[in-house]
Amino acid sequence: MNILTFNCGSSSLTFKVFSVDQVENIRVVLSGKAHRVGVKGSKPSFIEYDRGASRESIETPLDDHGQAAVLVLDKLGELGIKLDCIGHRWVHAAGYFQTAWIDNAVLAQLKALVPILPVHHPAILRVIYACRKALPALSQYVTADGAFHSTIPACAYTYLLPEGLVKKFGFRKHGFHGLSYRYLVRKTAETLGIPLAGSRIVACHLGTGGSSAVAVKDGKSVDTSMGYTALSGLVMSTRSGDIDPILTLYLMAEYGYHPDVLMDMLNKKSGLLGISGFSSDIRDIIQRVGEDAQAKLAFEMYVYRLKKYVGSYVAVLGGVDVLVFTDDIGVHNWLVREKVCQGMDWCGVRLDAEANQRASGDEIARLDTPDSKVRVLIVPTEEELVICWDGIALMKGKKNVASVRS
Amino acid sequence: MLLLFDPEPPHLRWCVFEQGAARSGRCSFGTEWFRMVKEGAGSLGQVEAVGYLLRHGGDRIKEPVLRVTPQTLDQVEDAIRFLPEFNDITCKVLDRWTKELPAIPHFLFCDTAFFSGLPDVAGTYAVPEELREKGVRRFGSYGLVHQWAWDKTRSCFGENVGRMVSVYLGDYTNVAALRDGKSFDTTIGFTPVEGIPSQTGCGDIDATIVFELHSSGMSFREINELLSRKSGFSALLGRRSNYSDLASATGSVENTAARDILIYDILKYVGAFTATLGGLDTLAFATRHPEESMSLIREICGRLDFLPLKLEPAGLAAGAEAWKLSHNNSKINVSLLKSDIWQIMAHLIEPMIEENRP
Repeated sequence: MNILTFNCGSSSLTFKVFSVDQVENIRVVLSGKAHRVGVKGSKPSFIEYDRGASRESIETPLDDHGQAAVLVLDKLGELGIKLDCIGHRWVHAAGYFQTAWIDNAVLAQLKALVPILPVHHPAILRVIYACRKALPALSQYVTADGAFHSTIPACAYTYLLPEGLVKKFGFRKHGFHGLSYRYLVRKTAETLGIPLAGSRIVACHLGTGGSSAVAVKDGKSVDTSMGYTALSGLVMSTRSGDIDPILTLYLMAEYGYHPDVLMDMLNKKSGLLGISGFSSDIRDIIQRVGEDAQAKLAFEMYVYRLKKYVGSYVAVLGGVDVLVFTDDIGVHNWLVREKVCQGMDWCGVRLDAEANQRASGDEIARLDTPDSKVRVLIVPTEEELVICWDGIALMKGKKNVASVRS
Repeated sequence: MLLLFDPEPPHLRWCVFEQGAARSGRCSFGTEWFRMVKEGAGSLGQVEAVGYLLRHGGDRIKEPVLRVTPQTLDQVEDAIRFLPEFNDITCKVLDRWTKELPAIPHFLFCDTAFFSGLPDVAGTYAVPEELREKGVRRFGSYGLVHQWAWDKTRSCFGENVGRMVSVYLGDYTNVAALRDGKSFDTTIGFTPVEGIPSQTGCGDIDATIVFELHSSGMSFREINELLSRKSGFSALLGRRSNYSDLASATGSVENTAARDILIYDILKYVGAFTATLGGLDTLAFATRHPEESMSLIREICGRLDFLPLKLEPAGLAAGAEAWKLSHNNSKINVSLLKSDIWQIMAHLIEPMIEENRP
């Protein structure tokens, strides 16, 4: 059985084809990533394909995620790879489902969830539609990202708004990057050989699009930086992260900003792009830190706001045992890790500067010094594998249903 | 004798301050406020100066104390838009009393001034330049109390205050980070609505909620009213709440839930600022209600014992206004200060009147 998984980032599309045998051994047949999808930057967009023995990278314009998905399906066709189903990471399911086959009812739910996440959700829908159009007979499913955060306690998820409104709209902290954190927590425990019971982990998922941090106690999420939507929390590539809600009213009432325009600015033109004024890519920004005051501020704010969250989670956990970094920026940007770990001796973090700079980011690595009380890890995330796990479970269910009917 | 004002919507708090003692009152800020203050305050023949607290100085007022001139009213009027419900009261009271007592000096106290020196990295919102140049930044507030807390901690416990986190406990609980006596960060943002929830303000929420409420048909004014006046701990408790409801450890289930949130949010910010300060030397609590706050403070400090931080088990010595709570072995100093905005304002005004005395 072959399962193709798609995972939309704000400016990337990661894909993987897994081959699953009778005893559920999972093997990656092909993997890759479309980079800089819809990004206005100095460098061109491209798709990477990795078949283990052979790799290639193809420069191509990528205006949106649907276009990227079609190119991937074409490539699979060329290579003669047949599929049994396609799984998508759905970001924000508002409790509708954890994992589900996409039928018309589910599709209607997905469409209704677009306003909650106006950057991600339309991108995922474009991929779903592109797949439907290209391969109409193939089953597709979605896996909800937020399920991992269902263990967050009321004191952390509650917004203090009138009860009627909370009930009517479902206002509360949901959190995101749950698949990534599910993977991370399991791998962290395996790598360090520690039991999850009694462990305190702070993990940072730092993506090229969205970023978040999480506090994990006994292997369960107890708080996370993203909120009702992915707008809150850390400074991200183009999202503002935390802002005073009154500030938005001030801009609309005093300066006449249309709500849609302002919402778009906060989601697509803020964050690193908004501060630096020239790029949403932290690598571009780091290059100009020495000569450009706005680039310097953008980089410093990115680190500063991340540090605030790490510190706050250390405090609510009553100390920390492991600090984990993942996703593109988390595993590949040693400077971000170095700055975040600087001056964190108060909670026992000591970074091995050399190991930190040397880490390739392609595999799990330990970055703490021998005298550090806190283990510091890079764990390249594998959200797609978690999607595949859920797909295998769904396919089993389908077979069961079929056998009952026959 | 000083006459002092502090807006507390929908009320106005006033105080007659004489020879170190404050006689204060509160009236609702309606059409009768002026008459009510005059009646409550009694004979004002000896008043030497009048002071007004401005909760939000906007982007123009950056001095903590300002001698009122004919231009000041314009400046205060300009700042109304930043925090209308508070600043409107200060503006009207200032206008009325400068006319009533034109011969004596009047002083404006700006609660955001202390934070006008916030480092850019803490004071900036990650939004486009186009929005930032419209005055969008972290202004903070309660600067008078936090600056006073620094001075007081230093004078009571020695020079070695170092990196300090200052927690103000009250109806508008907020936390500030200070370094070398200067503001370093604060929970309060563009307005006091951001940060830790207040009795009626929602605190940190996802800003997307504003847009969803607007598309459901609410006006900007209604949303502002909702987030600033109809949310917070009162919304959770389903009734008008005050700080005492949260400070007490023996409350109803709802009170306990509210108290848990308050403790949790304070912990989060103490941790956040400890991280950005690169470690912590002093944790200061300032409040109008020291005795009442002790169980809350013990719970917060108990959960921070890993820093390491250790409190003395003894209770508060009677008659004092500042207490060292930390154990002698504690790495981090913990102080508790009885804060009184009238004392703080009077303390700042008095040297300025002295200059004017013949």
